[in-house]
This record gives sequence, structure tokens and C-alpha cells, in this order.
Amino acid sequence: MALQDLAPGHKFPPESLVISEAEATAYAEAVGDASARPPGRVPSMAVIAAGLSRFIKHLGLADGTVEVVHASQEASFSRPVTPGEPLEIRATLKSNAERRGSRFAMVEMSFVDGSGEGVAAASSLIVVNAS
Amino acid sequence: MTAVPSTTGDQLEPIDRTITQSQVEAYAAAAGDHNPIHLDAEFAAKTPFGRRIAHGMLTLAIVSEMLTSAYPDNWASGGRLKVRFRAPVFPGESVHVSGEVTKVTEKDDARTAEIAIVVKKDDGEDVITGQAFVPVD
Repeated sequence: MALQDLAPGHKFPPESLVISEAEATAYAEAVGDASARPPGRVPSMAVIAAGLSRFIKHLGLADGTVEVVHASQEASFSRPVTPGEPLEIRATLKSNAERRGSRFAMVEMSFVDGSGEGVAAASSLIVVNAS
Repeated sequence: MTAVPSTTGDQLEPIDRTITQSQVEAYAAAAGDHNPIHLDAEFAAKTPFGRRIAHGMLTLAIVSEMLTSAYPDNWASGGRLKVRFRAPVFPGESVHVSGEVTKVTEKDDARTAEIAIVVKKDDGEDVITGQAFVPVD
């Protein structure tokens, strides 16, 4: 599945996401201050980061053949996520256009829990340049 | 305990942090983002940046950390943000993450603080700018 072949409105197959306690801790430590992480919670932005990484990997944009730059980000949070909690990522390609040799793609993601309730949502604009 | 920033002009507790290449590598492993522009010096040298850059989401995570500290319950339950990544952060550079309440709106008895988010480098260059919105009691 290549990004240039996808039309706006394309829905990606839902993916499951579970962030373990160890993964949440590793994320908080990597960011720089694990002590700021509320106990028993996944850092809010870790959920969005995991979703965006899946999207980039899914499209083969992390294989070194193209240069990918993150241009803008929106995120919203409905409630905290607990480590080990199963979530589902539902992603839609909202826009996908080439301008002056660069491809601009906006992906919207929603993160829902086991009961189908949204816990977070995000919209990411990435710019892809041939390397 | 520091009061929750909920009045126009209130400043959030800023965070100053130096981003290192080892931190970028730890973040790539933790977030699952192995884009070579962050990790592969040879690849990055051929990009317009000329060298490896930190993940934008790594810097944004520090913004989220600041918001979590300022609004321990409400950021994760009703918070939202909208930001632009304006410049890359190169490993070894320091960033100053700040926020200021610019407006408080009230609708249906619910108050929301609008916060201007600014992340700058030591030389004053903007890295991230945007807004966050957090429910306040």
C-alpha cells in the first residue's frame, strides 16, 4: 500500500494497540522526566505517538527511501489510558496531495476502548519528500 | 501545591530540556518510530536538514508533560491541542517549553482555559507554536 495510491477518505484497517506498563515507563523515561508521569496512567501523548508510528510504518515511510517530516499535530483526550488496556486505532486518510514535489498527507486517528468509547483522537499532517 | 493556571495571564511551569541523540534513540524504541531521519546519520546528511533531527512528537511530549503537571486530571480528560512544528530540533540543542493562559471561555457552566504554547530554542527560534484547551474548574 503506497501513500501516493491512496485517495482521501481511505480507511485503514483497524489495528489493536496495547501499551504495557514497561512501554509506558520507557516512553516517559525517553521523554525525559518519568517522575512527571501520573501513576497508573499511560502518558497522554504516548497513545498518539504509537498511532502515528503505526501509520508511518504501515505505509513503508520509515524504510529510508523517503524523507518524512511532521508538519502539524492536533490531539484530544477524553480520559486517561491505563497500562495494558486494549485499544483500537481507527485511521482515515483525510487528504493526500502533491505540491511542488512534496506529498502532504493528513491522517485522522481515533483511539477507542473495548466498549467502543473514544479515549483520544488525533490529526497529523506529514510531508513526504523523495530522498 | 501550585494553583491550577485558570486565569488569563497565568503562566504554566516551564520546562527546559536538552535533547540528546541517546534520548532520540530511546524515544524511537519506545514510540516505535524508527524513521532514519532521526537515527541514521548517513541518511540524514542527505536531507535538507543535513543531520539527524529529534522526533517532533518527542518535543511535543514535553509540551504534554507540562500540561499534565499543570492540569493533573483535566489534561488527560478533556484536553486538546493544535500545534505546528516550525523548526527541527537537532540533538544537543536545548528547548524551552512554555505556556500562558490567554483566554478563559465559559459555556454551559463549563470553563475552558485557552493556552498559548511556545517551544523555543536557546537562540529564540520557534520550534513549536500552537494552542491547548483544557477544562478548568
